[in-house]
Amino acid sequence: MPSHWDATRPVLEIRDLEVTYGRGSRAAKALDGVSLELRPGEIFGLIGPNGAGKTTLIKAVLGLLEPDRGEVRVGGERGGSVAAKSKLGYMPELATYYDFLRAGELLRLCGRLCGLRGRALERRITGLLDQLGLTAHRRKLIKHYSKGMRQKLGLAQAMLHRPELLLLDEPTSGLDPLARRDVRRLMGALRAEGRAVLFSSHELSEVEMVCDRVAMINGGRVIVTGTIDEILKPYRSYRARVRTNQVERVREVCESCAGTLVERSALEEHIDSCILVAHRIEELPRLLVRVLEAGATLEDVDHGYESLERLYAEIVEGT
Amino acid sequence: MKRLWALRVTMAIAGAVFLCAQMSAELTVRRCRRACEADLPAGQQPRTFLSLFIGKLEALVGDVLLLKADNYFHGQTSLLGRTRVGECGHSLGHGGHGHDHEHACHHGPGHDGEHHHAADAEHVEHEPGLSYDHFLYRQYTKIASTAHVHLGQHEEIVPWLYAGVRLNPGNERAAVVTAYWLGQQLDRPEAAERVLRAALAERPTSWRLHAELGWLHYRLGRYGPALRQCARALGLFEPGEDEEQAGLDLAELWRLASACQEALGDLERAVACAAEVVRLLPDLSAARSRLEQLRARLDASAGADGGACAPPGNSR
Amino acid sequence: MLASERAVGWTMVIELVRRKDLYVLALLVLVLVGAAAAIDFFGVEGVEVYLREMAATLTLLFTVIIAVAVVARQIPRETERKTLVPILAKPLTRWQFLFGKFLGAVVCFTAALVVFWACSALIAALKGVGLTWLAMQAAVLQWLGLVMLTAMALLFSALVSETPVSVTLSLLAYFLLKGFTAHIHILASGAAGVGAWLMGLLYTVVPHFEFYDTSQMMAFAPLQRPLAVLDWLFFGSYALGYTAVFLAGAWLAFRRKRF
Repeated sequence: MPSHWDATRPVLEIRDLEVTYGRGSRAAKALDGVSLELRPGEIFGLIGPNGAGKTTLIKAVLGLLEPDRGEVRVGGERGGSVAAKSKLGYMPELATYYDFLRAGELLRLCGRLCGLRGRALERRITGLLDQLGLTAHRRKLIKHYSKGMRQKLGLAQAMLHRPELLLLDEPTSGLDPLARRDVRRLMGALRAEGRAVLFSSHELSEVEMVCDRVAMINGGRVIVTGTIDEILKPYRSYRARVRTNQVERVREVCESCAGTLVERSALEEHIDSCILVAHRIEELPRLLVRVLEAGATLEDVDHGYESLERLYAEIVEGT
Repeated sequence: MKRLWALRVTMAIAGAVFLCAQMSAELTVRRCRRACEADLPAGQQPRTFLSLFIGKLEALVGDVLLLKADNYFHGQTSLLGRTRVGECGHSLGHGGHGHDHEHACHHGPGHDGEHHHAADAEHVEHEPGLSYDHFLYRQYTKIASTAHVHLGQHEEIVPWLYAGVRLNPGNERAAVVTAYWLGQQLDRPEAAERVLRAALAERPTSWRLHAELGWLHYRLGRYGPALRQCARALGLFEPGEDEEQAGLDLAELWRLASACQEALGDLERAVACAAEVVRLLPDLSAARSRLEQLRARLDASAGADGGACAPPGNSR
Repeated sequence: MLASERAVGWTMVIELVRRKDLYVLALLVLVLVGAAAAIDFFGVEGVEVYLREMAATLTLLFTVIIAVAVVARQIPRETERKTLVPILAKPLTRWQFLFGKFLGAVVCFTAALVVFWACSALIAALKGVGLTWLAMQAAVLQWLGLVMLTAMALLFSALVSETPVSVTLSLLAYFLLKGFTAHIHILASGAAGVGAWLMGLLYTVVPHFEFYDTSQMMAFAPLQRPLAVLDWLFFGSYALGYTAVFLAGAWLAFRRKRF
């Protein structure tokens, strides 16, 4: 992390942000009291259904729209100000750039807008193109670029001036698996440098793989926020595999325990075995004792999480 | 947005079609326009809206180009009208001719009937007719001609006259004005004749065109053809709404006839025609003076003939 | 100085070159002026004025088209295509972005003006018609008028959200103002009382693009006299004043836009 960065101060602070589109009877709140914080060296995932407010939140941070209420601070600077924008890099979801330019020319334009000049800028451009595998296409016009190449170009222009905070909107959209892996590695490298990354994605598996913290947005509000562990804790499960010839007997035991010894459980039935699932660690032994008394034998015990997808579906569909 | 583009495309296509129509004399557009001529018997050719529209548009464009030539004459390039001050009684198309009728009638045969603009070489400044003063307008005069001037180099108006008669050969006024400037100011009588004949091909029943061609022949010393054109003009003559102007026009025709008859040696008919001029313009001393001169010559000569031109009672 | 603005403006120049609009119009100028020079007008020799006017008018017309087409589509088209977003996310203010677009447009139409005048001068020289050095002041006046027009087109670009509407409004406003503003003076002279006062106010307030229509100055030799220094000051200040007004209006319209 560069020495002039303050590791104790959040890179991004969002307080009670409200954004409304339209007026009067047609007014619709896109963001309703959203508050977030990002620290240096943190990868923060933003997930939510379409129209939840993810892009609106990013635009408010960038100053592309003025919030109706609330505050945004980037590196201590007021959001939308030139000083704030100098500390962040943005990669839009739709990779649309001036198609009459070449990659080098676009990066040169972006670099100059960020205050970079001369040989330092040229070296930086060459290095980024190399890093992202675009050197061979440097002289092509952008209109001849594939979607994946445009995504990489978007990353390059966002990282050009080595910002403290990167805002990536769907960074792996349209990329092949290898390219996605490269992007994940890149994000990891950015974290190692002490930079913060806020990225929105519909790829929940990627979010689980990469993010330190996650916020789920729906209807313009933050529904849940925290580390993956914290938000999935209620969905942690403990499993025990037992062997039995009397699957029906095991089922009866589990049903009789439900609501008394065990608050919530599940049973996965197979031909000659069953998997007992309990959501609290103290409940599994109680259940296991009853099942073993019914003639089953214990084979294995394990614990894990339900996926983020389960949480997402619950929140979005209200199940 | 799509409707706007559709409208533009439609206008572009219509404009292209119109321009193409102008380039070929064989296209239906011209036949349609001829179908609108008033001299064609009603009912023989239908007067469609399109043919009327195109005809009027062509006439409008021809008039606009004539206006452009007039603006050029007065040292301006504007197309939509004049921003110069003051009216000009010597404008290009005054009275439909390139010259002033009153002045023409004051002069006898041998004179070309034109009054020369006083500023053949330099500008003539007239008093501004507008009383409203504004600082911005004064600044505007630094880069534009707003004074009333007469351009010395007459050839400079020719491109616009050319465009007017090429675009719309049947525009009578354009043809007459162009013929005047070519024939009398720029010493191009053959070009003037071509213009008039092209116009006559489109409008064979235009008395003005016959009259102008007659004058052209007269100035070139072709008195026989001049007289024939004059007779044709007299036969086709139709007075307009302005009775005074109609009288002047008819008198002009009789004056030409008289001059031609005199040049051909037929003094009796020359006298009869000159008498018509006096009948129409009894207050014009020059006309009376000319009649007396002719009568004196007739009396002095032997073997006067009867009038070849139409008896006075038959003229309109 | 003005590094961000220059970077934004330079992009427009690259676009003009690569989209080939400039070459097409330059070719048109050559063809049209050449055609105008080639016509035989009844065998009459020495026709010069109209060729000078054609050169001046066509040059101005096509430069106006370039200036308006380049600038009036900037903000609406960039908004439609969302190319505006990554640029505005960079550390520059909206004013810098707008002014950069304006500077870029000025460079574009200046290049177009030079190219078109060169084409016209070439044709005229081949015909033996001289465009005197005094005529250069006509070109400079045209340039000033185009600066004003560019600012006005940028204002329309910031106000409307569709490219064809922006272009059409800009061209319409320009030709209407240029064609009819001078006639307000004539109307005022015929009015009296409150009417005259209102006409006078209107005449004062509307931008006078006809000040920079130099076709008469180019065409008629007697008008080709050197302008006084005070006149240059006036025409320059007038153009820059209205340019500032239009740019301010554009900024006010643009700064609160949501993207």
